[in-house]
Amino acid sequence: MNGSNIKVKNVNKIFDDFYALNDVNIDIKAGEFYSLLGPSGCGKTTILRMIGGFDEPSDGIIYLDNTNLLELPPNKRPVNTIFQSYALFPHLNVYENIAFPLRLKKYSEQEIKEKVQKNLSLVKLEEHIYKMPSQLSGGQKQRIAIARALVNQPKVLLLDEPLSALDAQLRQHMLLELDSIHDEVGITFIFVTHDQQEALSVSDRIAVMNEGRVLQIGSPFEIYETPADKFVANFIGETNFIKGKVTEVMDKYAKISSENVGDIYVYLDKKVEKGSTVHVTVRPEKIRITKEKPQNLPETFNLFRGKANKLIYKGFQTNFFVDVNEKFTFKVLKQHARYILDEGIINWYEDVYIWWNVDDGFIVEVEQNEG
Amino acid sequence: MRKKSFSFSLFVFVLTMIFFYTPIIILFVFSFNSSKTMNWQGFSLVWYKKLFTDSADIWRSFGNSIIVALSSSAVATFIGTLGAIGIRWYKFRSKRFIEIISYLPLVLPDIIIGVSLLIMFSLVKIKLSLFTIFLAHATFNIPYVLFIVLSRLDEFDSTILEAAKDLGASEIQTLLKVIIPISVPGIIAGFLMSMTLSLDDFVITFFVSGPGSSTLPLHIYSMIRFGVSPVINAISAVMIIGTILLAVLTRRFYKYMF
Amino acid sequence: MTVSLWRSSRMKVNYGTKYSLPMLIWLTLLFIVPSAIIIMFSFMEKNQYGGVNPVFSLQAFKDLMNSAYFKILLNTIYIAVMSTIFTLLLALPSAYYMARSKYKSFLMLLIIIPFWTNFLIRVYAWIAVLGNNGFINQFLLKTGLIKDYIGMLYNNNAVILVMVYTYLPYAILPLYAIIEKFDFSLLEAARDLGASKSQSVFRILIPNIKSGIITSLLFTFIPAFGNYAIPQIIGDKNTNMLGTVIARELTTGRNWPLASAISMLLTLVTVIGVLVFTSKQKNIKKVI
Repeated sequence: MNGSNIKVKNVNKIFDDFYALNDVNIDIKAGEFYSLLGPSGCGKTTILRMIGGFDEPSDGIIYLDNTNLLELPPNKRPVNTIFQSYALFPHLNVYENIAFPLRLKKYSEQEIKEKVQKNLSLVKLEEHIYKMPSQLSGGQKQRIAIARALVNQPKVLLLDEPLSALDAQLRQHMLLELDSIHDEVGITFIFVTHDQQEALSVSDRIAVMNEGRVLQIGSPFEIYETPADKFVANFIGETNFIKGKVTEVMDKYAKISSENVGDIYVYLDKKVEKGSTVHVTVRPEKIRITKEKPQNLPETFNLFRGKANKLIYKGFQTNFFVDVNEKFTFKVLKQHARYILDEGIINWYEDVYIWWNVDDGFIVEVEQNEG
Repeated sequence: MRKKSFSFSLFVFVLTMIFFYTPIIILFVFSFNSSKTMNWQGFSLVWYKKLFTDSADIWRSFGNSIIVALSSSAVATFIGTLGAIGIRWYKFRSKRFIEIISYLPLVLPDIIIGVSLLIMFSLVKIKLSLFTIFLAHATFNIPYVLFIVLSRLDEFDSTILEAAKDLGASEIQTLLKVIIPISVPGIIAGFLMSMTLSLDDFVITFFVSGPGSSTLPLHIYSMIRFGVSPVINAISAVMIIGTILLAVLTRRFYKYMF
Repeated sequence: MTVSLWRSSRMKVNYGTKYSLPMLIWLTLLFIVPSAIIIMFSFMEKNQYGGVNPVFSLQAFKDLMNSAYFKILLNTIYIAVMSTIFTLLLALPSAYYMARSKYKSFLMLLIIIPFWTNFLIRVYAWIAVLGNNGFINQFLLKTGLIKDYIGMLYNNNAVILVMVYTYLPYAILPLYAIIEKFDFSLLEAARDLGASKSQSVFRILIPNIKSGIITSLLFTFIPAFGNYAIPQIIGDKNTNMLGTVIARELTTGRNWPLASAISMLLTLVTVIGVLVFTSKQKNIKKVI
């Protein structure tokens, strides 16, 4: 079994003056686990529905390998969808639900039986073969929907927020299962989600979308560690934003002076000029927090003194909100790698030091009309 | 405080039940009266004997009622179900118009429908017969079937259709293998409702029936005009028993009907 | 070419129209056309052998201005309003009790049985009870409490009684359906916030079940207002309603334009009633 590549080319979707999709270009490789990630209403589901054939672009083309998908009705496309509501047929039992596409193609009873059983074992639900959908739990329905969608041997599987109706623990479990099913069948998966954790943990690549535009395409690492702009940085995980003016440009670093925080140094991954206004991002888990003045600091670092005015203890980690002055609060995340009393407890309102390696801060956005 | 007001609703409910069932029970009891009057003289099955052995015209009109009910319900169920599917799942230009004209017959007084059909039939010179009764009954039943099937279809959203297409079904396969099967409880409920409405109808039938095309309600009406008759008591008792059986047997379809 | 075969909303246009076409044709021929004929006839001249002369005339509407018809209209309104009031007074508490009961489906059955019992039999049952030879008169005569029959039928009160009897199930069912969905913890919340029992009913329950009350109201008032059978069977010439007049003008009166005009009047009242009462809520869709 092999997947196909999907090419979404210059696709727009326009309602009156409103762009639901604005010049979307996505290139999905055969066999990839590809996620479309964004808040609700960003257009990710619309793209999925266009590939499935339930919606159509105002203009632009969608290719599957080299065929124009838009010329085919949904029932003739070699793609299948896992619907958010599962959409199992309530009048058919598990066996007949999975057999549905095969019966349409007039397979022999023997072939149907083999294929249904093979796909049921793929999702590990052999013992529920004669149950009705109403007798299944949410997770089981989900798996039947997967088995049913795969029985046609599609080139591409479309997953429309498939985990959103499941509880947190089951979601984690299904995510791993989806990953292993992907490895096993080897076809292209296109996964739509608004949950960054889901997208980060299973995807080969992710397209982050907002307001009908694709903002960044990249591997989970790239998306998380080097977000393309403020929206992506904020949407994927938590972060600290520091706004300031570039006061010095060196060959690897730049010095930024911020009204709120003071002077910081930042890794220079974008070309900036002296005097331009920039936004810097530092992830909370990259910031270290100590009660005593830290020893063994790296060569280049930013160090601040502050007060831990709020904290949320979560067992395995603590989220700190450290006020460095009355204008700025840093979010800091401390992983408790050791027994907490050995680590030393930091209490509410205690004075602390926070610092991070200069290499861990990035410029996410350079404001255009200044500098 | 709470208890007191709760028992007020119980009080009214009991009152309602007494109101509903007293006349029915009296009818039932007096169908076993040996006398012709509503004056109890002793137990007897004489009126049942008369009903079952010596009332050919009652049975003929009952047969007419069944013929009309079955045929008009079948046609109304077919047309109304298709209409519900079209309205529920598709968008098209005349949709709003269809919704309005299918809603109106439900709210208009029976006599308007009866009179307007009578005038039209006489204008185009269609002879009044069982056939015109069939036409009238199917007409007032179509909207009921439509709304009952719609209330079943409302339990599903359009992804079920998309799923069928996604898995390779053509339009007609989607209709036959998914939409119709999931509508079945609504279709049955619609058919049952049509049957009972058709068997019950007096006013519309009264206007569109012709000589020799009497239905059971019309026949009962002509008997009532001669006053109280123990044979009507017996028919009533039989029909009430039939109603109770029907009501008990069809309980699982109530949720689409009411 | 293949593109235009399925793409765009055009495909959906086709199938939606196709599926609903039989209904459109049927209702047009057997509902819209007859209604249109009635409207036309009401503006024509009467033919004394029945039917109409195809000449424009406002005579039917002039006839309607006659004070006799106005009296009948008032009587019709009186009977319909009284029937609706009594029906709702019984229906609301009954539906409330059903919705809060543990034995909902059994109580539902108790309502369905009279609902499905043949209409004429339900009317006849009251003749058998209240008629001159009916149960009550016979019983009272036998016990010697009265010397002669008491005429209980053939008056407005009897018509109202049988109307209530007939339409009460129609009123209870939609009320029950909506009260059953009502979240009763809201009443407790209201009590908790200081409302008395009756305040919680009138300020919380009633506003939340308004659409059910309106449906019940329409299901009682409209058939009562346009009723023909009950005043025909239970009433006499003093209990004329618009419905009985239509039938009379159509048959013995041989005044088809007048019958058509009264029908139009009835239709108009019905449509206006529905529009006024439903203008604020959009879903009266669930119909008995």
